[in-house]
Amino acid sequence: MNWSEQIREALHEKNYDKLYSLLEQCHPVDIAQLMEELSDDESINLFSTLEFDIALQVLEELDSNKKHLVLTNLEYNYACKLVQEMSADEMADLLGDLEEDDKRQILSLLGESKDELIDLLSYARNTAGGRMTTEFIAFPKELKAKDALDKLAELAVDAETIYYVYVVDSQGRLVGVVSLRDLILAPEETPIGDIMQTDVKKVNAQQEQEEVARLIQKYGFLALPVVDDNNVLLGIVTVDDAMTVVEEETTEDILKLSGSNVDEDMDVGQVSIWARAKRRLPWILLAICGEIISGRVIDDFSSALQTIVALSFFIPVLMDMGGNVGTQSAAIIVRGLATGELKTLSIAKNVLREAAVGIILGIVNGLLVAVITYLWQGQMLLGLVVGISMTFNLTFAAMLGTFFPLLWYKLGKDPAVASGPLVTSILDVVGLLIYFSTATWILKL
Amino acid sequence: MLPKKDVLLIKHFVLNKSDEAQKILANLHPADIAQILSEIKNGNKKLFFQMMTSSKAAEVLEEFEPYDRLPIIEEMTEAETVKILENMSVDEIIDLFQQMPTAQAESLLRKLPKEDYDVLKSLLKMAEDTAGGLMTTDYVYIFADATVSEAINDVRQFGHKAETIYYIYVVDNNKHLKGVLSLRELITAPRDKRIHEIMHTNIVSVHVDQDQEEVAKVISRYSLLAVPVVNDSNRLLGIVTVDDAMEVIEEENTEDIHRMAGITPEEDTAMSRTIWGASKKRLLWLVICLIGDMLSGSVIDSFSHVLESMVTLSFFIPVLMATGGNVGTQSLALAVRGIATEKLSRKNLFKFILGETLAGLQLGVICGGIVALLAYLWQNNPQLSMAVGLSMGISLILASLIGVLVPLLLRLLHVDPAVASGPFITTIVDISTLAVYFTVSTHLLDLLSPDAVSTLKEVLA
Repeated sequence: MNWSEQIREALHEKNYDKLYSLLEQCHPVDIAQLMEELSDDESINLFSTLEFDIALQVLEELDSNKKHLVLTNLEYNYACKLVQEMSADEMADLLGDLEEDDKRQILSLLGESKDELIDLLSYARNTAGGRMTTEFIAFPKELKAKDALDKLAELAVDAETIYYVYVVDSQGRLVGVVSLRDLILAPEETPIGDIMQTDVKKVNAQQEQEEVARLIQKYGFLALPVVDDNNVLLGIVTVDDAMTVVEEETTEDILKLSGSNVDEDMDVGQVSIWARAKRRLPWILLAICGEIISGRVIDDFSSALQTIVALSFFIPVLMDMGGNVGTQSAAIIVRGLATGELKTLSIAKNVLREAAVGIILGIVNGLLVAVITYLWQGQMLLGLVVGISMTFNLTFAAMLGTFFPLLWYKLGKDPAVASGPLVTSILDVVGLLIYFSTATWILKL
Repeated sequence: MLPKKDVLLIKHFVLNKSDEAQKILANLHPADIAQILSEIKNGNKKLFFQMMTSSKAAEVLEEFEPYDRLPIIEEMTEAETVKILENMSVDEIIDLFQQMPTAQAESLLRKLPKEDYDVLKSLLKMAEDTAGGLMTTDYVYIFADATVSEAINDVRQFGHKAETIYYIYVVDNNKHLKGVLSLRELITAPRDKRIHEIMHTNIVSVHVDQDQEEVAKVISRYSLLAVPVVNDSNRLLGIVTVDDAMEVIEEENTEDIHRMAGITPEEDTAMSRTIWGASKKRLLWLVICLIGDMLSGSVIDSFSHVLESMVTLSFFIPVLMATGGNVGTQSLALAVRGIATEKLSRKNLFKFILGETLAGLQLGVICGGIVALLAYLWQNNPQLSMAVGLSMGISLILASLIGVLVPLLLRLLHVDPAVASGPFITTIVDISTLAVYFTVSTHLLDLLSPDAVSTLKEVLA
């Protein structure tokens, strides 16, 4: 029996001694995960047996609905105490997720410490301001290393990270940063102004969270300071938040590339079907309109099709392969833009390079499909038609798949949006045009 | 990011070997210097490194991807290289050596101090994509019976070279991992307490052979700054830090996105950046799909009598195929991402599949209705528009099921679910869509020629 089953059993038997000893060995993250799987009653029971410090850590890991459930079902005073200890960014996230009524319930637990929160809530959730915590440590630059360490020891309990100490002037403006490492390794009497780094990497509170995560990753920081337009230090974003952002952004990119709109919090378990379908409909409907045009192209050449019905056998392969190559190119560009690995942002250079790749892909697949066509239909000319169309088609697909995301990016839009279905629809129209034109020309229809 | 003006100025100073350059470089973040360097011609890069202290040079070199470090090293003399290597952290040296010809690595290795040589030699044996390949041996450890103030002194003394001093590992005489302590806890503890009184014994660690992706997930899941790496007998071998974990996650994410688009992930090397290399990793799935699409063609072939008697049917092949493919890819993306982020668990699996089926049904009803209407307006044939609409509905339900079930099935078979790429799913969906379309329309349109009846029977059998 694994520990989660043992805990369930202990809960069921109300065997609290056993429960305590089991919980003692668990990491708060694991307890939180177990709670997500338990029923409402079970999880409230389990939570109320936790020690305060552990309870607080477990609470942070729960998802917003579970948090709300636990907080509103605990004894009022205890819930108040927990809520007041929660970090402000955590609280802002929770409130952002809840419905109006539930939000009010939680706010009532908060008592007086609301002001700071209201400031935090004013930032959009996916900006640096929305991601930051205000529990950072800042000292004036005259403070000596030794005194700074002593003060740090006092403040350490509440701070999100103590590994960076920020140095601010009397107006609260950010002037430098000292890592705890430098502080500990410095001579005791040195003022921190002498050991601080003045070239501080920072972000504006309005900056997008993606950019914040990228900076943290690029410089290998444990935290990044967030400032307002006057360089006043507002908060910090820590590396664990950055990791969450990276995962979220990747999910968004993958979903958008496949033509789904993305809302804030994707919950794969949700069954609100209408919500699911709604995210996916816009691009599908647009693609349907595009594909009707493809149908019109076939219509225009229907006399050719009637003469050689075998022409229709190769519609799927031509349509699909164009779409595939276009999607590949779009994925490479979107990912390249997200990680900053793209060598150049010039549309022309990228499109040309991809064209070269497209020609190679086109020639290889064109030859292959021509041979298969010949073997299947026994007609040399038909093979030639399909092969030539394939080559042109794929070259064009690679170029278009590169062009659209870059164009979006240059226009200040999200490059991942609609690159999939949109590119595919255009390619289908063009691909069929190329195919039937080549066919009428070579086969003299 | 540095302003363009500054970059130009710095380049100018360095290339003219001005005295200013040394001062400027000393104050720049290594990542920024690396960025400037990436724009400098090969052959001139060494000028930058000659103007930096060895420790700064090491930090800058660490910023580059391992395969980009080679050309830089080739510009420098072996003595210069060794000096920089001495200041690099072991995990970074390992990454570099793995890119080099064995002989070159061996000769550099011999010039390093004896203790580094031993450590590196044993690390080089570890597989690159495991905890062992990712870890560094520069960490701070103390013994359980030390006092807090002794421990702080140890940190001061050994902290300079350690990769992180924010976690301190507690070991016994045989280096078995006994506990862990954060620097935060250490400096807030009373100075005369013993370490074993304040350390955590409930330690999150990873095994040396564990896959790097799992190591990164552990760090992210428990919000750690570093995770200790141990062997079977719980001996502490090294640590993996959060910045390495971030890189692993980024790599894996790139792989996932590329796989979704049918691009085979490949180790990034000089070769994979050429145009032929870029084409090669995209070819595999294209060829597989090309052959799959031929099956779609043969489905049309088996209904060609139907098509001959009513060529109008072919006008709707694009819209049905493309919409099926789009819906299938959307479902696939949801499933693959759900599995990767561990949001999809055994518990909500059934709910998820059911939800996707219902979403497919809903999309099918809406899109089917719309396309039926469009078909009617265009061709003015109620039977035909019914056939197109109905086929759309059925094929979209199938498409979303295929998009969800294929990655889940692969997962069950312990194959990376991202192997099921968008193109691959589209190909399967196309075959099913065309089969549905022609079956439905032959029934609805009553077009069966005697020949077609026998073909249909064959197909169904």
